[in-house]
Amino acid sequence: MISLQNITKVYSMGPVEVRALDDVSFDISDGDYVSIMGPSGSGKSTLMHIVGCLDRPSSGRYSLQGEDVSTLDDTELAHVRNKRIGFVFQQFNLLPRETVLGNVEIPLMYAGLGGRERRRIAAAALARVGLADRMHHRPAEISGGQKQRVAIARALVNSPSLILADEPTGNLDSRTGGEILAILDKLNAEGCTIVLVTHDRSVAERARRIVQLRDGAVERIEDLGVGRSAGRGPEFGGHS
Amino acid sequence: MGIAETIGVALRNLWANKLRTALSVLGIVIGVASVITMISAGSSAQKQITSDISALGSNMIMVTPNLKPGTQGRNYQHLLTMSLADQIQAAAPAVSAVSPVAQMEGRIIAGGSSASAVITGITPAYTRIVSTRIALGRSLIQSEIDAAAHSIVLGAEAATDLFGSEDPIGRHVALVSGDHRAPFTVVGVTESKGALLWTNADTQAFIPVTTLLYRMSPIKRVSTYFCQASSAQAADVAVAQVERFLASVAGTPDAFSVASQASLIDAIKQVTATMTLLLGTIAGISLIVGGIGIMNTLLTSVAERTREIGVRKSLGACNRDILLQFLSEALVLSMLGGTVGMLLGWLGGAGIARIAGWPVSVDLSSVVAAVSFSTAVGLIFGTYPALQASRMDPVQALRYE
Repeated sequence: MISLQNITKVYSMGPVEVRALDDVSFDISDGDYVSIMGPSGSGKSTLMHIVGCLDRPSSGRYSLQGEDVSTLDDTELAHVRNKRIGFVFQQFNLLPRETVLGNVEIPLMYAGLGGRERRRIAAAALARVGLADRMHHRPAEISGGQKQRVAIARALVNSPSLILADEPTGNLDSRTGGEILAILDKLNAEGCTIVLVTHDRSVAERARRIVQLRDGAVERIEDLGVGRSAGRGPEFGGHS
Repeated sequence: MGIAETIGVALRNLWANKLRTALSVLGIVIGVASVITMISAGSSAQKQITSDISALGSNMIMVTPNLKPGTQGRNYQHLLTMSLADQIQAAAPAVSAVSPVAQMEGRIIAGGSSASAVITGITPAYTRIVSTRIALGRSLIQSEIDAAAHSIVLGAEAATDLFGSEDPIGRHVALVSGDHRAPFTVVGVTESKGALLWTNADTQAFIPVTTLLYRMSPIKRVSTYFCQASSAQAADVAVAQVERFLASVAGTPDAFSVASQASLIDAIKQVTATMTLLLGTIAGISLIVGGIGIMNTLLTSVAERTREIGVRKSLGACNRDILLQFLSEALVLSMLGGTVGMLLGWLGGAGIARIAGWPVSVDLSSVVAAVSFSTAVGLIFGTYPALQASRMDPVQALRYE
């Protein structure tokens, strides 16, 4: 259960104060699939950074599975990101010098796992996204869709309570993007909580709910119907 | 994250930028190598000089008029007599032998060949004090001193120059110095001892000091009194006794300088230690320059990998993980440089010693000091970039293009 209560984020740029988020409140229950939408400048990114524990709200309370994380220090936040949040970025953000397997191992490494166990868990995560045969390639040697699947494997390798996807299809063609969304559908069907940030309505509609932001505030929350995404979409894994 | 993984990541990153890594390591290599080279060359030189001084004689004490600027030594030259030697011997119980010595430049002529030589006037005690060995014939005897005899003992090299492989014993030579020319009979040849410091006994020729003073030279003064302490332990006591006696004779402690071999060695050691420290410090500055090179490399690396830092933080790296990662890169660089520099420095020190003909002496403590100093340099100059990396805001870092 994720709960945002009266979240406000204010940046001060010299004498000017910019109110990026203004009194945002909503809940996301476990296993939910929520899209955050809004035009650029609406506060999507800021909200994503706060939900992802990359940033702290100026005021308000953010609780993640009952724990108030809005007041944690840097090290505690790093710990939360490591254990409970998996990130999927628009630019994939794989480390070019590491192999595919090495990239997926990184969260496990920061969690303090030993080499053998890391490799086992990372390999299993890669198998879940259908990339068992690409483990020893470098990111430069695989396609964009495959890169994003590696990123998803990396995001879920520590069994997080939340997967946070920021425009995950933004750098992909529509077919490959569809494959990625299908993987997210499948993960959600398996019980993963997913928050997807996008400006694309058709992508956002994969979720059960859409949180529409405007000028740093929640404009409306659309309920697209419980179970709408669950079990839907093609099987993924065979489309590489 | 464990140490092994941190170092593994560091090695991969350094390997990915081989040229940059090599260049920044080079600074440390040069620094460490020059520190070790300088210090080991200094200690080699010191060893050589010390062993030369030891070989000059045994428990030797040299008494010379004090000619240092600001002293009055020149006013006491009338005291430099033959009989002063006996008086020193009588007044200083810790002194077992005294030989008055006088020297002049001269030329020895034997048949068709001639050799220039330093002619040293001595007494029999001299041979013992400076540990000269006789290879052929005999050394000068007391009766020859008493009689101011025209007997000569040739240095090994002088003998070869004049007589080649022939036996020089009993041969007649002419000794020319200034206007004086006198016939001498060769009674002995010394064993070769080689050059020691500024002297070479092999090219000298030895005659009774009385002959030199009264028959050959216009200057009727002894130049040095070579004394021998009865033992190494007695050297300091002997120096004190001689000093006290000479001060009473001259009426001032400034007239003569009395130096034991040990004090000479100490003085030389002090000089070489100062030189070594000076050279080592200059070399140490190059190590600091190397440290700046490491810092520059790391700052570039931090800037280039801003996004990577953001990604790692988003995946759960805490500030400490990032700090350790960049610090370990600095350490790997400086320790790599330290190791290569150590090997080069050892080679450099050995090379200089070999060229100069000194004993090779690479001080283990200088190696330890240089390598630990370079590691410290890596840590110190790596800390700032590593802190900068660790304190990066993950949101800003992820946005970095």
